[in-house]
Amino acid sequence: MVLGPIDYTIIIIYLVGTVVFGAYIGRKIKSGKDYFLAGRSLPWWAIGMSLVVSDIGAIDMVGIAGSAYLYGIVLGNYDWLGSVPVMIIAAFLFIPMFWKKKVSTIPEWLGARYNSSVQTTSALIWGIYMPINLGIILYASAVMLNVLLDLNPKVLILSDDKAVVEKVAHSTDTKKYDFIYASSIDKGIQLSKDRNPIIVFIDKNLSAESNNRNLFSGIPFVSFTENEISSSWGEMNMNRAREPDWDIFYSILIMGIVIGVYTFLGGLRAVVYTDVIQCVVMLGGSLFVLFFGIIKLGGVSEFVNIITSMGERTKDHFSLVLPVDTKTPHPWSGILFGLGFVLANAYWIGNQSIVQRALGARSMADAKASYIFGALLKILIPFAMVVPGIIALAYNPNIADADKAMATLIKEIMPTGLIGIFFAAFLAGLMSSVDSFLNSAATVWTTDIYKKYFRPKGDDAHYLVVGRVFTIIFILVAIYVAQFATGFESLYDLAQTLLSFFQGPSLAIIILGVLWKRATGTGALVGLIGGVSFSALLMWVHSNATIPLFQVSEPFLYVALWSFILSMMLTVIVSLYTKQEPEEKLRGMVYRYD
Amino acid sequence: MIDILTIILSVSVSIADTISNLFRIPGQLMREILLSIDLHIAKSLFIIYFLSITYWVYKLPKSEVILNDKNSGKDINLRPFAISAMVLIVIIYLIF
Repeated sequence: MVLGPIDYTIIIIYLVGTVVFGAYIGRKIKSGKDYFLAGRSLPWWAIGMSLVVSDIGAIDMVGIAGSAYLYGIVLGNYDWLGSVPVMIIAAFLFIPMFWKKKVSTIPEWLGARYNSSVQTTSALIWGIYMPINLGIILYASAVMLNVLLDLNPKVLILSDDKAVVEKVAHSTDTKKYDFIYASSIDKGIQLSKDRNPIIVFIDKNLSAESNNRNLFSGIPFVSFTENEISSSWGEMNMNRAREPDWDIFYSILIMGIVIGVYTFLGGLRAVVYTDVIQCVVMLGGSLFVLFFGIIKLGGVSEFVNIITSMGERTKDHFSLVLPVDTKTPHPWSGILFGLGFVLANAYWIGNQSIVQRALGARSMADAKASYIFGALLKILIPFAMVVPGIIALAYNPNIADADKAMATLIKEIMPTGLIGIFFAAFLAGLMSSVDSFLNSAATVWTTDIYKKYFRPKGDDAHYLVVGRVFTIIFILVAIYVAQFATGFESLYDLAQTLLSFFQGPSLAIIILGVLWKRATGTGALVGLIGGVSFSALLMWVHSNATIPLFQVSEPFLYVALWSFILSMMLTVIVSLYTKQEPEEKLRGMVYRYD
Repeated sequence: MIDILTIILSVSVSIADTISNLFRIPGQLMREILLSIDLHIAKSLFIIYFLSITYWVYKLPKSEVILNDKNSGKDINLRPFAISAMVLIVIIYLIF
């Protein structure tokens, strides 16, 4: 992707502006309450926009459009089914219960509803998961930054056979490099001058001159025949490549410092208000792509005609409900039961980094309204993220890597200057998910661990210092972990696996805690630990059995669903056999029981 | 040492296989039931889910949906916004 000086200027202004804005907001922070909950002063519109933008992380920004390119509008389910209904339920049922108790974290609410053991167990689970995930999403953000700003090292492959080019590219670690191709020596020489690759791979069939290293001005050069290319041939030859001009560590460092500084200075208030800017930029940029993309195709009906005329490949591209045996990863059963009934609820009701914003609302009305405003905005997201992926398919049906669909589309339709705005939008999305985790990790460790076990009676200014120290520690840990996270995909899987272990059980005890006054602390503890253990058992069986337990390779959705069901059952059974919590403790904690 | 590891490995695989077989029977049954559901009925389940939430919001008492905004001093009724969101979702699922 070619960016002009005006694009880079916009991006730099955006990054510097975010830090300055965070610092400006941070002036008013005087206590831990200000830092963790923005002094309970946040208006509904700011929280609503923050909720929406924080939900869209680094991987989603590119991955949603890429998946939509492959599978179509079905990806819209993740917002239309996975967000809107549950945000409305949460607005009237769960968020008011949390807000009126004036807690800072979900574990703190669990402690008030059940007992100290449930609070500590839940806090430790979140407290360990969030710093690990922080390093992973920071690395993912840096990878995306490199892709978007074209900072990845280039590998030049010269061959007149496209299949050979693909084979060579896939024999390397494709996430680390961008590949440029040429079908002749002359074109290759020109490309090497323009794009400055770190290494050139050249097919011996292409030219008798292929051994002449001087052609490529000192750029390392490896000749090959098709028969030599094994699955790791490219990666094995990468030790001959020259040093790249831009190391991914620089991207990690830039992202880490920018996010760390404004979160350190401004706490939740900075996170939420920078999210507001990020939401406007992101939605504006994405809707701009939608508008330009459809106009240039000739209108909506022309767009639909192009897609539907692609035959079997796109027959389901405008269907939200796909059969159970669909070849896509989105069958209606998994979407409705796994996503709609468990994962979405776990995310919008039980995820600390999400709910914390509503806990900082200035009134009950603002807390409720924020979720409803967020739900209304969420209706727009598939038009901004999913439909552009399908538009990219209409423009270019032969993109080899679907994750590059959005970037390719932008390159084709957006003029210079507007590309800069769109990249600022992407940066906004990347930063919003990292800052949320950073602030929430600091909140949980300060409130549920440090305050509870080390200094229960400190003044509020002291907890502000502790919260800021945790913020620095976690961003440094994240930067350190991220630079070694070269095995990104396995780390991402690890984060998803960890999350699937506890989000089902956590949701089960929250739902029962709010809706059933008979649920007891012992029941919840058994349900939580039993559910997490059951998740681990399912994953272990799936990995070790001769025939895997689930028919999908990444069974996070099913693990969460079954551990949720088991956790519910355990909590109910044990609660019925243990003594009910005192009436005075339950008042205000259970729905319609004041 | 290697023998012990081999034994542990084979025992753990056997245990995993046993548990896996135990879970697979009801799992396969559920999959077959879900496969037999017509896609139109499946879509109806989505719509029923959305309509149930819409109805629930409609039936909520006024005290839970009309709230006083401390800043403006005015009452805000959140019900129309919540119902509008759900109606839009129903329309989207009817179209796609």
